[in-house]
Amino acid sequence: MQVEAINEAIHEEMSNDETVYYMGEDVRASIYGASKDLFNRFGENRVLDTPLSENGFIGAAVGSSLVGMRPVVETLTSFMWVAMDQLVSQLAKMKYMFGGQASLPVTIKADMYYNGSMAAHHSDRSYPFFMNMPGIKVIVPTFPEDAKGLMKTAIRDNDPCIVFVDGNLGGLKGDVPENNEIEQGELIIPFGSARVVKEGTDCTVVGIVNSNIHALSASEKLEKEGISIEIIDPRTLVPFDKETILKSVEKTGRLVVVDPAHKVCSAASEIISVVTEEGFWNLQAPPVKVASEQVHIPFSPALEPLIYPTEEKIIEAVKKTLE
Amino acid sequence: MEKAEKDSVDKALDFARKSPYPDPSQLYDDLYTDPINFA
Repeated sequence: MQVEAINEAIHEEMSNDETVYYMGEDVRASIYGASKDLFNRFGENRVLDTPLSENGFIGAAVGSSLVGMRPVVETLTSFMWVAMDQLVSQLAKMKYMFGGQASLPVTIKADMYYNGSMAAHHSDRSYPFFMNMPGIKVIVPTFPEDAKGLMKTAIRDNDPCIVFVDGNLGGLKGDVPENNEIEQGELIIPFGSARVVKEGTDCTVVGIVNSNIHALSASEKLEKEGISIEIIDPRTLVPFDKETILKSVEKTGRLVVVDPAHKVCSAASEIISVVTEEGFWNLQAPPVKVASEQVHIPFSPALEPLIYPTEEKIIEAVKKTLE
Repeated sequence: MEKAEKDSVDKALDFARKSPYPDPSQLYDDLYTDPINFA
């Protein structure tokens, strides 16, 4: 499962490097599963339970990274708003403002719990905010193998990384190769390298996090109608592998981007902008954005499902590009 | 201690004033450890 893959990545990196430590709210008890057994294995000096004070403990992560530690901070996207001073004014900017003399190898594991009647204060999908902020790397894994490999890369990276983990995918099953099955001895996935989830010929569908799962089920239904889609998961948004997407659009001539973030200034907006600027003459139809409605997430189970991208919305969008 | 701090600041100011303005090619330097091409 995805959550186990992430847990494995953290265990391996804490085992490999004594400067890596883990902190967050209730991480010793592993409320969300990713920190399972870390406390028992690595002890109280390297697995820290924090108070409900995101600006405080993310500030502590920033400070400790400046003196040689590699903190991994577990939090929820919805709680990161109260830490924006440390995240944006310090973490993102410090290296540039100090002329490269500072190094901030901080990894934030930012869980996104949405689509479960958690209402507006607990349903944020905030990666577009951080795409807009230079100095931070933005990682958006979907499949368990990628979640493990990208998490390990993030912890080893010398820049601030935010790994946005889709809470809807925590139980997603998938093959994760054992280290002894891998030539280099462990699973490391480089940033800026998209995954072609499924090859196709008629329309390119770029999916962000859970959208890839919807795109796969949409693909099965579209195949029955003779429509073949190519699904691409960018895996990281900063850095961004535009070449794989441009190459796919060159083949299909059509583009749908599916993104659970709010549709205005979303990751989908940026991807469509890049393809329109650099691949315009390969497009046979206007690109279509399938993103969340521009409204706060309602608690009501009757209203919330109307917000997000779905299999049906993807099918409709793909057909629109083929009209 | 005050004198030491003042000397340190004066030295930094002196260095900054004597240094040339950065070359335009340095605009993206030190944003990331490994440069990212946003173009």
